[in-house]
Amino acid sequence: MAGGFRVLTVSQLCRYVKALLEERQELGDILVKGEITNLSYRQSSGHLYFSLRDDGGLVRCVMFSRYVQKLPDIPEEGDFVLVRGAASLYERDGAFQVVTYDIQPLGEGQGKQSLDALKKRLLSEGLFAPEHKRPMPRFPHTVGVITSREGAALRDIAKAFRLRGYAGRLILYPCSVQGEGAAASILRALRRLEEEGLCQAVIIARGGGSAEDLSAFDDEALAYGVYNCPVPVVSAVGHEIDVSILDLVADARAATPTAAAGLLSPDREALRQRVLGSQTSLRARALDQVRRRKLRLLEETRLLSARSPRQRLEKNRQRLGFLVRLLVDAERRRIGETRGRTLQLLRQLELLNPAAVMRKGYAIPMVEGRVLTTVKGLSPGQKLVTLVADGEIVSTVESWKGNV
Amino acid sequence: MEEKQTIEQSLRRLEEIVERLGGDTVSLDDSLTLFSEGMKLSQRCMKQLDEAELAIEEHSVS
Repeated sequence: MAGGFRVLTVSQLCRYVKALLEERQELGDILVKGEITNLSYRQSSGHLYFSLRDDGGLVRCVMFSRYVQKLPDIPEEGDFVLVRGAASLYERDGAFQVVTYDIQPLGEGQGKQSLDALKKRLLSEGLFAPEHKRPMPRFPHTVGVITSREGAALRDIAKAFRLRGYAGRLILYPCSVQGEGAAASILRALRRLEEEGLCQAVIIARGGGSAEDLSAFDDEALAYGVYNCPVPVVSAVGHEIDVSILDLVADARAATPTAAAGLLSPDREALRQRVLGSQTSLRARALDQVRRRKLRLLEETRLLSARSPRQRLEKNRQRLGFLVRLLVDAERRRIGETRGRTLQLLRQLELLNPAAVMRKGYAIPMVEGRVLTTVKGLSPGQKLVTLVADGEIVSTVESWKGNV
Repeated sequence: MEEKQTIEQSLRRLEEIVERLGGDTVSLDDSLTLFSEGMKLSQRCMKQLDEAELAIEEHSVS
């Protein structure tokens, strides 16, 4: 299998590389400056372990107790120091390291110092201003995710969206989240997202990777990119201790990618309720519109018929009828009165008719062709004719006597 | 996908319709049109809500 090659054990390789490093004179006594991180001081052994870092790299350092004892102070995490030592390799871990003889403080870590200065400057330029923070869209249909293709962030975000019943579109704009050029890579992804203009919000997530290397999220250009992004940005860098510049400039900050998804996915049940509510209102309002018109129609119809010519005609006809009735009544009354008077006259006439009187037993005496009304002028033997109702009686006057 | 109204747009339109339908000045014809549009829209929203799935895509960067 390994034809022509010499097979090495791991230990042999480590020893070989260590020897290579240690035989280089220029690496045998070096001065290195950097920021102290991952500091660990073991009281039991008295050895000091730490790493030195700057913008581009990191190197492990060990300082054995006999040198540590000579230090006036044990350095602290974040200190910016100058280290004197020799390059070497820690065989057990195959780790490149600097065996340190002396540590000189150089003031605060330059990285931290410059980071603080950058934060201060961005703050004064208003990049973190609360009034610039945009609210999250309530119902984003498309959400951009800027994270690494390999990390767990996209998976976590998708899972959280599915759990909430979010039925939209997630677009991954892949980037690298750590190492050289990570900030530029994130910024390129953000630019692409802006160019496409499909997303209503964007989540920038770290999603795995070293918790130590957050430098990509402390980048000034990225800060301005996020500040000027046309859609709201959620930072899901998720680091408990350090607040990154991205966290400060983003419109919302989530502790985890899952929490970021929660900020952006509307609850499907809430949406359903909203639709149902709208349906109910629609029905009620449509019915109300019809009902209101019906009432108005009824009212108008009433008014209209009250003012119609037919109605006036009817009114006049009624009045006419009334007048005619008055007239007829008057006429009737007049006729009745006339007849009554006539009858009365007739009755009076009847009473005066001599024939009628005679039927009641009265008689009319006549002498010499004249009605006899007095005893004066009578003479015996005179012929007296008495008229009765049905004839006449002829008699002779014998004697008479006047009423005295 | 693009020409389809999003749920958010549909919901906004729906709520606008409900608002207008409650007004005093809307004509009867309009109110009937609004009503039927609103009902159609709300049914479409429901369907969208019931059927929609999460879609995940990857877009290349530069």
